[in-house]
Amino acid sequence: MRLSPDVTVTESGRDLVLLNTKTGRYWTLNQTGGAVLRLLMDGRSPADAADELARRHPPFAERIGRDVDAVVRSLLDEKVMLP
Amino acid sequence: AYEPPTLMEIGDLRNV
Repeated sequence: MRLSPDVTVTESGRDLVLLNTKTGRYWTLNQTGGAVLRLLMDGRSPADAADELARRHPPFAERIGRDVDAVVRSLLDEKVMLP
Repeated sequence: AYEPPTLMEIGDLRNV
């Protein structure tokens, strides 16, 4: 997966702000979402990203896989990330 | 501390 060439990413406090410069639409990603996006942009798979988050937050390991799947689906649906 | 990852649309610059 890769970031759409039309999307720019800016840090805003602990969140990320994503702007599609072609369509004008913009979003925020919370801190955990930003961690997922950075891992994906580094070339990690969604499963790898979930494993990394589970390593950082062991008490929540069981739900993290589902959470990462959901946010990755949103990133693809909104065409922020491309397959 | 864990907060589920969330993508939230803020708006559309074309409507500003």
